[in-house]
Amino acid sequence: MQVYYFSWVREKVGTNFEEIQTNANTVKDLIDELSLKGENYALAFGNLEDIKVAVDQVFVSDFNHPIKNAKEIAFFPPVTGG
Amino acid sequence: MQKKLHFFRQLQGVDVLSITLQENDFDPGLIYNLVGKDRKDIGAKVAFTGLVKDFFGLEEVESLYIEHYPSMAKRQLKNICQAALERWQIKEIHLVHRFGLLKPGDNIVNLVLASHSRSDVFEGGTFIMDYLKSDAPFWKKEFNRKGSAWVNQNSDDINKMNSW
Repeated sequence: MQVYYFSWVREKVGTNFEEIQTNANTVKDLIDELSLKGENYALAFGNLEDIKVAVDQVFVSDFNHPIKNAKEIAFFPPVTGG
Repeated sequence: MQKKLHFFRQLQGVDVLSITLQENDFDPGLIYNLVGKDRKDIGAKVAFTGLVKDFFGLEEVESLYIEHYPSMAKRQLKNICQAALERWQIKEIHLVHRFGLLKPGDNIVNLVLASHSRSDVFEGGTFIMDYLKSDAPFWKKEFNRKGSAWVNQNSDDINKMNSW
C-alpha cells in the first residue's frame, strides 16, 4: 500500500511517501499500526482531530472506513488552498 | 522546474473546462481575454485572482510555500467544477492554481467563468472558490524573519462552503 503524508504530517513523520505491507482493515487500524513504528509517527498521529484522510484520492471522514482494497492512503491536516 | 497538468475537454453543457496546476506565474489579463474569444453566445464573464498577502497567520510574511497532492488536487478541482456545471449554466471554466514558493503580491489562483448570464458566473464562481478553499488538497506555509508556520483552516471558509 502506498502511503502519502503532506504538510506538517509529512514534516513530523519525516517523509512524504512510503510503500508498506499491512493487514490493516480500517484507516484507524493503519494509524495504530503506523504509530507503533516510531516516535515520529506517534507524534504525527497524536491528535486525530487534526488529521484528515484520503483513501484512493477521495476524502474520508470516518476513521473506520475500510482500506482492505485501497491502493493509496494519504494523511494530512485540514486543507488551506486558494 | 515547472510541473503542469492541463485538462481540456468537452463536457455536456459546457464547452471548455480547463484546470491547470503549475509552479510558474500566469497572466490573469491574458487568460481573461482568451476566455470566450471569438464567441457570440457569451453574455457574461467573471474573473477572480487570489494573491499572496504579507500578513495572515504571521506578520510581515516574506514568502509562502504552497504544497499540494498533485493527483488528488487535479481530481478534486475537476469534481468541484463539475458540481458547479450541474448547478449553473456555465459555458467555460478556466482555473489555474499555483504551487511552490511564492512571495507577497504573487498570484496564487485564477478563475474565469463565461456564460449567457451574470448570475450563473457570479454564483458559480463563488461556489467554486468556496469549495476550492476548503475541499481541495493544498496547504500553505508562511515564512517571516522569525520563523515559519502552517496556515490553519479558517472556520469562516468552512461555513461558506457548507452554506451551498
